[in-house]
Amino acid sequence: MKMLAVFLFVSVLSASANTLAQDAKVTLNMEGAELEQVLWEIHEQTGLVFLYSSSDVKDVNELSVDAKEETVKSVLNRCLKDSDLEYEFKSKAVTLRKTSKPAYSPAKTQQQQKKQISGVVLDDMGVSLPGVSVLEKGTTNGVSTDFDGKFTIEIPDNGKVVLVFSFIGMESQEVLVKGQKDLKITLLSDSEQLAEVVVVSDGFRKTDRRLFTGSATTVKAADAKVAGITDVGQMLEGKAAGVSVQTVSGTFGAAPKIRVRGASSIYGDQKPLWVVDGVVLEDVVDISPDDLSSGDASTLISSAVAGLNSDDIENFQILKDASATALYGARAMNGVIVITTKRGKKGATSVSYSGEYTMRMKPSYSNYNIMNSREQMSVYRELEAKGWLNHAEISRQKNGGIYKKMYDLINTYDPETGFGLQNTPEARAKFLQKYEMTNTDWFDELFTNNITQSHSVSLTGGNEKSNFYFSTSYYGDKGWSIADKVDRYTVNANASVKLNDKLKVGFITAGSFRQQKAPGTVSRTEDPINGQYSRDFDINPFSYALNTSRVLRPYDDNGNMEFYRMNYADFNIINEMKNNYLDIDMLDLKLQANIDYELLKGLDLNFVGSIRYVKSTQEHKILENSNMASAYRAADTYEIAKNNKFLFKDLEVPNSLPQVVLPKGGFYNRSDNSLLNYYFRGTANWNKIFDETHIVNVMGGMEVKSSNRQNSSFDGVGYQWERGGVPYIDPNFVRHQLQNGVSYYGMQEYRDRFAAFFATGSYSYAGKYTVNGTFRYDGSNQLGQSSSARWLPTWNVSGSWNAHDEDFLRDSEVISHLSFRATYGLTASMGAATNSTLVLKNDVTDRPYISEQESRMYIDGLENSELTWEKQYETNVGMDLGLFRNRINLSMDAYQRKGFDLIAYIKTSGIGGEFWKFANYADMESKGIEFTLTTHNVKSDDFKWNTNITFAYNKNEITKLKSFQNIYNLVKDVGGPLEGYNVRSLFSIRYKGLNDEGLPTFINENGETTVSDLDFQSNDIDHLKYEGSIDPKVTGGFGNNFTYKNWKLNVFMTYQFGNKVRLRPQFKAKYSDLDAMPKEFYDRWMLKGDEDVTDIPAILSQRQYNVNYTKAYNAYNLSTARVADGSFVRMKEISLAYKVPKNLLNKIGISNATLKLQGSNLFLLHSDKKLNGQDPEFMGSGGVAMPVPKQYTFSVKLGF
Amino acid sequence: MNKIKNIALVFLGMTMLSSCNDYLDETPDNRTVLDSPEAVSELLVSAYPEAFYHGFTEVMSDNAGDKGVGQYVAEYIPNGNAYHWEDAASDSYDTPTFYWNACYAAIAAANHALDAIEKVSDKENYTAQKGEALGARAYAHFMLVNLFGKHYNPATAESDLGVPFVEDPEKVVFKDYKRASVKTIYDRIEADIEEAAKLIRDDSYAVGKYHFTQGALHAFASRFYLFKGDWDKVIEHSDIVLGSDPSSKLRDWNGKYLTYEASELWAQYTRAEEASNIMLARGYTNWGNGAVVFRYSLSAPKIGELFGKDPITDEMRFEMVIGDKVLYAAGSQLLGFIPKLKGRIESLDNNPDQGYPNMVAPLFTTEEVLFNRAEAYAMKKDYASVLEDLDSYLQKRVRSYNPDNKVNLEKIQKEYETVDGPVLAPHYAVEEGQKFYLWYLLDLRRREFVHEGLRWFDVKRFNFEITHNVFEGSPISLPKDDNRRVIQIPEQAVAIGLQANPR
Repeated sequence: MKMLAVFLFVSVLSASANTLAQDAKVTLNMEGAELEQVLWEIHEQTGLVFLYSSSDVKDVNELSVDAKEETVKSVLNRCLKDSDLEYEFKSKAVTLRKTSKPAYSPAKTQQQQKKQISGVVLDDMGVSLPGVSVLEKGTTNGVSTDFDGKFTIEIPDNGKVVLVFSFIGMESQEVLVKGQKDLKITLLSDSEQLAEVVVVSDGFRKTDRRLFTGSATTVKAADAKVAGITDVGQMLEGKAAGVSVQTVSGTFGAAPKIRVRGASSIYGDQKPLWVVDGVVLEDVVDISPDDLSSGDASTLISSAVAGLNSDDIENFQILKDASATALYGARAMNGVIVITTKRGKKGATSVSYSGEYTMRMKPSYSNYNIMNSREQMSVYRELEAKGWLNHAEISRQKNGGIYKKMYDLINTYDPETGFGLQNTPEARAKFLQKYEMTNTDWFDELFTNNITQSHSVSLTGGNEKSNFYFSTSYYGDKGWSIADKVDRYTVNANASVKLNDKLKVGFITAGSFRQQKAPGTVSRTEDPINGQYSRDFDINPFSYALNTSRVLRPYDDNGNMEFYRMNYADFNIINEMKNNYLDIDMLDLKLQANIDYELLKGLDLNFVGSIRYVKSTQEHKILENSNMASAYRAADTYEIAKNNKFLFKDLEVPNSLPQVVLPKGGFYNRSDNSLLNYYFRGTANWNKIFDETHIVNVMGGMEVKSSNRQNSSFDGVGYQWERGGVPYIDPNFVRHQLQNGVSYYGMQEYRDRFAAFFATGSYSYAGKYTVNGTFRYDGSNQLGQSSSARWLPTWNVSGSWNAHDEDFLRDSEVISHLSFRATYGLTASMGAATNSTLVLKNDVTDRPYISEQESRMYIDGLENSELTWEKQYETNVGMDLGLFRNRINLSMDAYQRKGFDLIAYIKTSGIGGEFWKFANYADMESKGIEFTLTTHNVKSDDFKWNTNITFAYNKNEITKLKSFQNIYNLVKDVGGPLEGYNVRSLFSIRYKGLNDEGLPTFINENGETTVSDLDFQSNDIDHLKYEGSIDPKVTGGFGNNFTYKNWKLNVFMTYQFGNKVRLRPQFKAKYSDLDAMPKEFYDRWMLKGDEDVTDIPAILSQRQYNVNYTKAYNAYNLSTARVADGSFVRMKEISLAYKVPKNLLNKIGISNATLKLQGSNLFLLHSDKKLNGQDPEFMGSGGVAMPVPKQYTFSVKLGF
Repeated sequence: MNKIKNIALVFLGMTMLSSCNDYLDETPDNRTVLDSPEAVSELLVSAYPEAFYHGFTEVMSDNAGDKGVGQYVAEYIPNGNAYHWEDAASDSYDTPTFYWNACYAAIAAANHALDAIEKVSDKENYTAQKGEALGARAYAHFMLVNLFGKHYNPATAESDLGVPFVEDPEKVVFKDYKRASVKTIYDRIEADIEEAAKLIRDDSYAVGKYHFTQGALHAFASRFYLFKGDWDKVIEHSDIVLGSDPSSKLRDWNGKYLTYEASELWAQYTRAEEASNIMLARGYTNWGNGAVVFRYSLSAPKIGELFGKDPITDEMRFEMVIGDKVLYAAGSQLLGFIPKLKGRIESLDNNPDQGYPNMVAPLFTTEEVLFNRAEAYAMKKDYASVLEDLDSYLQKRVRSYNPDNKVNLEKIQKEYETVDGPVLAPHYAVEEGQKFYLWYLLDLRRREFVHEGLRWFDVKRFNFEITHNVFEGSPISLPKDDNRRVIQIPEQAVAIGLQANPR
């Protein structure tokens, strides 16, 4: 790995500047100096700029120079006479390079006619590049570009000369020189050299990669960017080893589940810390890992990074081990992802534009095994034959499809036209036949091919003293389904100014505004006794399409909406989506200031201050015509009134019939979240190099943070959407709520205060051997008002050895780079508990009569004087290897983590008054290895092929957990923690085949085979089967890049292995004529004897049915029969990009243009067949959660 | 100079640290503080167990039968465990562990209130709160010791295992606890009751019926001394509750209640205005609906046994009006019940069928106090007073009751002409003359408190054998002195080193 050090100092105009550079005079008196020191002295005296590769000059030492008013040229001659270096003057720059000593030099022997050619070399941002080597191919004839990127070279005038332009970090370029006089060369940054990024930024400062001892992965935004994907978090999937990204919902704003090196906590937060431009990005709402997949409305504001425009990002640094994250101390246990946004660069002001147009494919029934209407109808006929869907019962039921419709018609009588439908078998059959042929494609009805667009414009520029970057973007999505829509605007401006030699100030203003629409949803609730989740009024388009019978149709024969019954009221999904929706607004604004002051030479003071305000409003709008509002008005018959749970039963008048308390209007339910975050950090950083070999760096500082979060909710009742929004409130509605112990409004406040002091020091011997130590002292108010618990010291030590700098490897042809790293340290994280002192809360008692209610205080948490932070010791060893001139790059890390004092939700004896306690009672161990392998398989002039593989293996085990788990917590789809197992272990009830009635049987805790003698709440868990972890053991990505001339093809796959998923719960003890069934039902038990050949339980007859079988069917959904392997290989992205040739663009004033066509999330190359189309990553929990669509994106990038 | 600089730096560091401590004193959320008598009163709202024993004690008693299977008959494992006198495998609703936890949670609230009172300088403003805290703490311990320990027996109480008596707030995650003896617990309860009686003020409550008023405390004392066998004290405390006209404070089954439809009966049964309800509580339980649908509950034969006709004389046994109110859910003979306790749902978000099941139930009633006093009179052989109390009671329960047709020993004995009452073996001697009164009182209590779980305590304190029928199997019985009469303490309590009950 070569390093180019460039002295680019603004030199004050001096007398010598007027003279010819090589004639400038210097006075030197140095003993035993290194060449670099000599050059520095000359620079100081003359202002000359030296361009050289540091590895070339570092062998030239022990120089003794004694010069008095001597020319630079003669000093250099003396210094370099024993070295293999030569120099060349170009205006005010001096280039030093190794002398090539070819055995035979034709250029010298043959006196050819020469011509001069000159030009300028720029980078892709249009900034001139000094020090670029310009070499005539096949010769030693070469020059370097000067300070302004200009060069002049003499070449033979025989017509065919190829010039090679090369510069570290840039792709080399060869240019055929024919008749041109002035060349303009643009070098592109070399994205293949991913592993060779020279600095690592941990958000606090930038460190020379050689001196960095931790485990960190840098991902350039340009490489991570997947066109059409808006969430920055999702982009990292498969890009960095050890970072697993699970997109549990593809809906905009929903956070993916990101884990750096797997789980580090059991009940606490496992999200990595996001740091943007040095400031920790706080979440607006704290969503637990399990709730991320809940589909609740709050998940839409769960992604901390949803307001970032991905085009603004320069790179990601993923800090993985204790050393890399040391400066985040007690918050770093889950890893840190540092985002650096783009900065203005010196040079001409440039404008760039990028636009993306994405088309998402509608989901298709061909991917899911759902019965078509004819098949579905045959199941309904069986239901009918089994006593369900009968006339008397169906008219009393709260939900109903076509059978309900049929009986309603039979019940209607018009004196003129007679019965709506004759109650004869023939008439009924004819009626049903119509629907049998419907075969509604709900996906087609509810999803669209709407194109999303994204436009981003940025302006950059700068000069010696200042630079700026400004960008603005728009993302617009008209909705993949007919129920959602997103508009997002972002702005990002940053500028920095060097006020003088010592003082530099910078400002960042970043903001985003989002408006989003989503299907109306209420939070889901969990029924642990019967083992199921439920959600009222779920109109999630994806779940609806998957769960609703294809016999039903959205429009009737006349093209009018056809209504069915839901909650005793009319329901049509399309009507409901128009009348029941969520509007979400989010405004996010950040102001940040950075001050860098050089107090003394080598001692810098840095200050960062930022303020961020986020406000988000979720408005659940339920219009009067929605089913949700109508359900509150359904009281047509005595039966309905009695059973409709949305009516008000006045307990003060015990015998009264339940009454409608929402006579008019709908609802306007609102929830507001806000975050006000202040951040300040001051650091002092001291760098000193002694004797050119001893590099010392010491840094110390402090950090203060405060965040105030507020969440308020308000349920507006009787809002008359069609009457100018005038509320019509029935006072009994409020009584209804109070009787149920529900308040129509509420507010919660959370205050987070945090302070920390830290110091870190590192010493490196010539960049070869480096040791590093960090100490940090964190304090937080989250643990309560106990000053003993709130402070925590963390520390770590680490070291590295750059072996390729050793003599025995320096000249190796094979090994071009080799270094080793090791770390040991303590990191921590805030647990989920805040009760270092007694926590008391207030509420109102839930009693039936309002007159008997009173204000109550309850113990939310007993004092836990032993409460402390969650902690972890981490050991990491790593190696970076480059072979064959870095054609093969391998970066490997192995780690072991010992988590202790982890917060566990433990059962106590209950005697202290708190049965379940959050306490530091768990330990966990995890280990893993991860590597990134980059190979440049083919590297020819026109064709290049690179391969990039990331691989991570992580395994964790809870070594101590004083908890008595019950069955339900272990068998539900998100799994549960158990001592001796993985943090998210999935267990199953052992399925034992069907009995001779077609009912599923299981083994219960007594070892007996039973149908329903099961208790999901039982603590007896020994009889369960351990399926595996729901978190994958192996994750990674596999990418191939092919470049042919201006074309670039990228094929990228992601994979995960070693996890289990629960199949969708599809079996029920009783079905309705609305249910859609999967094709598995073909194989259902029909006749005695079928139990020998099938595992699909029978459809119960009404005679067979009893309430306990609900449990049996739920147990079946949670049994060994309903588990699949979660491993998959996904074709994540295939893209083809075309770089439009310059000569085409110059005419229309565009400096560069790239067109790209991309398909993402295309298909699964491998997944368990048992999944039958179910995406192993997507939980399908309804609400606002949607799967990640298959999509095609066309994007344009223009530079002006 | 340098020294000054260093001192300045150290000083600066210290002030920064201490100012940081102030900065970090900010509370993280909307938690409240105990800073006034009102606040302590609010905390004491939590000093009552938010759970009920009904769901297991009623099922363990001879008021429950095995209904077998039916479309609406629900299997619930804790319900089955209780019926078979097995140790429950879970801690969900209506398990002994669930109730244990609720009692200790109530005790913790009481102890925190007492702790807060101990720390204030103006203790005189907190006397009523202290009284309530002592009463509530005594009640929770009393229920615990009677479920998880042997019934009080002066001969063995000193060595019989009780439950841990908790009087200090817990401050560590796992604290060591030891089971105190039954005697120790009884002594502490007695002391607390006596002190609470001096301090409790009824006017300190907003909703008195949910708190230990003077009346509730004396009702509790009446039960306490009955269990202890201190008859004079029973009478003394009962007198305070009952006053001069006990029947006016009883449920008017023979009048107003007769006219009630099911929903009205449900409503009236747990209303604060009902004079009979001395203390009410709300707690989490499935029993509200479970009493109807659970497999092991009031089965059809049990309805016959309690409220049916005598198979030989074909006369209504005990002629209780209560029996007229048996209601059948979904028209099924398997789902008979008396609409007393209504299952409720504490919904999380206005969705009334998802949430935490709970109910409101009376913990002390005038009827119980009246029975307690009658029993005490019987033990003191003051039979005239027994008959007088029975008279007060029966005029509110028997349709054909009139002053010319009063209860007497002869009538009572007639009830046991064909079938004897159970063999009574309490810790004190029962004479032949007392036996019929006790049998009769026990039988009345059994009917009066059907669904309410009190029968178990009678079974336990009189130590008589009971049997349970088994659907498609032979009956099982719980003999006298059987270890299973003492409910096993929770497995988590055993895990931290508490001695388990013998099995």
